Amino acid sequence: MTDPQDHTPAPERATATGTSPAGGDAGRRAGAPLLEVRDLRVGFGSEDGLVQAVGGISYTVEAGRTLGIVGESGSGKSVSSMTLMGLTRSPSTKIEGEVLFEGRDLLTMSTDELRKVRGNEIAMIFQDPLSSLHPFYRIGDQIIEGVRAHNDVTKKQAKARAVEMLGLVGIPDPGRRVDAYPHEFSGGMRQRVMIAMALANDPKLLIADEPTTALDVTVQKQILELMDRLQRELGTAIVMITHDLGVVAETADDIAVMYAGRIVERASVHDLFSHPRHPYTWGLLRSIPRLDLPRDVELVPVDGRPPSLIGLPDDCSFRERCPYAAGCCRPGMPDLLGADGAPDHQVRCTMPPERRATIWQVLADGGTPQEAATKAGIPQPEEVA
Amino acid sequence: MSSATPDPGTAGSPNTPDPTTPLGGPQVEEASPSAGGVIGDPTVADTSVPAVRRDTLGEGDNILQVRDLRKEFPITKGLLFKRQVDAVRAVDGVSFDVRRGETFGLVGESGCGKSTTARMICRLLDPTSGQIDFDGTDIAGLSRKQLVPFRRDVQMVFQDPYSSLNPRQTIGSIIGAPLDIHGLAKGDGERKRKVQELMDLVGLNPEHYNRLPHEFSGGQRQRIGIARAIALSPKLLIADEPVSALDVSIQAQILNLLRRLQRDLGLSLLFIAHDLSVVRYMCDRMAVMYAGEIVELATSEELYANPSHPYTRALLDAVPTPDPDARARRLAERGTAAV
Repeated sequence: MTDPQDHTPAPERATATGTSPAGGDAGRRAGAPLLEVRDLRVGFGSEDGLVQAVGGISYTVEAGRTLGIVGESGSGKSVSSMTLMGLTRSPSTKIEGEVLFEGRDLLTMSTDELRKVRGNEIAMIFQDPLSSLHPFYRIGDQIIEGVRAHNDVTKKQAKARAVEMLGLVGIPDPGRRVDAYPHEFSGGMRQRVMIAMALANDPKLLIADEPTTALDVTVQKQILELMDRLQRELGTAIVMITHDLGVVAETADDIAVMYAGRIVERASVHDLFSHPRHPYTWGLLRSIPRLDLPRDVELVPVDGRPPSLIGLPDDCSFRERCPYAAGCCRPGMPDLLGADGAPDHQVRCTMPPERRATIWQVLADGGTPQEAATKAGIPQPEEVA
Repeated sequence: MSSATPDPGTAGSPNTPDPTTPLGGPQVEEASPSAGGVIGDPTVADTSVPAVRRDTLGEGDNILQVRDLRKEFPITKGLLFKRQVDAVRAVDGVSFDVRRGETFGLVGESGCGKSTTARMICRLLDPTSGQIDFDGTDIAGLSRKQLVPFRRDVQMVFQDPYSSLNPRQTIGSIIGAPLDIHGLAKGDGERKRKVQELMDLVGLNPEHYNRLPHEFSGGQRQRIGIARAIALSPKLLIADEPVSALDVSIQAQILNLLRRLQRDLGLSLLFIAHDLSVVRYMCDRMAVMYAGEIVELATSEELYANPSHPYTRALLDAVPTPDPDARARRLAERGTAAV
């Protein structure tokens, strides 16, 4: 599954996917990235003007790794991933940039070519498992359709593959349940069916768009553990899109934080949580209640709300809401650059490193943005106004 | 617990408390309720409930006392002569107190009966049996007419800030409606002044008095819902998942607003949510519900430090922590500490 030329039908390969860790190790071999997104821009035409949902993002995903994309609604995290799959194509959509999957540009592929990749080499799981499954068809038939669309196998072979996949994702009695309808499953079980369907053709890349948001926490935990186990066994690379910082901390290797259509910070999961460097990331981290911190640590919300994506100025889109903008911001859009002493930790902010460290130290100890700004010698908003 | 216990909407989904079940193996999630583990077992549930209840009922100055509250939704068969064949016990004998001026939390997963409980306390649903003592009066059996004075004292904030505001009414008339209904504002001038005071109190710009709901974001709409709920200075405010539809940075704004209002206005707050970290942040005491029953009731500190019911432990263990080091530590511990 790591060789691009390998087109063995999935059902035959499936025998090797049981518990063999070899796939995972081989999948993590060094080399060219599996997916490379270069300066992707997506705009939607509207009556009020072009809505620039994604304003130029670049990232890479290596085989067998998980990239977490975090952001709030409207940050462009879902639009960017749906664009990879060709799901945003329409006459009114303006798509620029390059999306290289094993060297092939997905954006310039014809719909027919893309159809061969989609559901085969790249698969996607959506947020709502009920509306992503067809209510009239047995789940087995829906999996079989996907398998037969990409592999020259008989219906019987495809069904055997469907049963195998349902067993793999932990559906009890898969031989019988393969003939059940979606409504006969609970929410968590439906999401397992979606995962089984997505992985039936041994995709190299799995895009999971808020896969657990509609689920209860105990079920969420099971689904995340399942994805983790399957990744280790099958060596699949995962792009995990979520608004939940807890979920990415549990699952991702690398994290990209998105705000207003751009990546504002990108780092390994450890660096991002131990030394967050962008003011928006600080805002997110301090606005979620946490079980591992004392109860009386007051939440600090990010004031205001995200900017409109129509006619966004070429300027830092977070400046309006940033408590530390005064005195250290330069006009113009900052580039996403490697931070001091950590080239792999990229941040889209021009704040000097010492000041950044001072502010995060105060915030991490439970201080307010005002206290942090004072300590860093930044005039407070009231004084500026 | 009979076969009818799980939530009508998501049959089977609450039966997921066993964190030790290996993922590859048969899942409790799909299992029948009777096989759902300790919690589903009537004998264990009945003996364990008194044991885990650290709260002494009936003590202190209570604004609300709920005793053995039950709600059954009948399952009928037949077209013309419907006969009841069974019942879904959505709430199955729930008892708790809300003290004056405190925030009390109800936490649980979908289908556990927490919203049904809230709706019965507001009397939006009629309880099948049980007592709801509000400020010394049992309101469980009151008629619609008898309930009128009580409606002023209990107000609700809803989950969805989009569907809970009338899209054709201005913000002024939405927030002013309770004042009109209860005849608390004499003349338009006074009504407008009161509404604008409320808007200011919840952090809305009073100049937006004449705007329509669609001109506001989700967080602002939730502020409108809160302003409407506190317009009558209720004695008890029930907030049912008030932040679960909001983005994280907005969620913190609304949580802090509710905390501030609760402190400044001396409100008693019944706070319902599925998110344990949110409930812990908001509440002094809390009850964990599972399959229509309260399985554990304690102060927030105690519950998080020493959860005594296996379901509470499973729930706490399932919450993802935004700290990769904590995840590594927990994974290391898991080898030894089996729940």
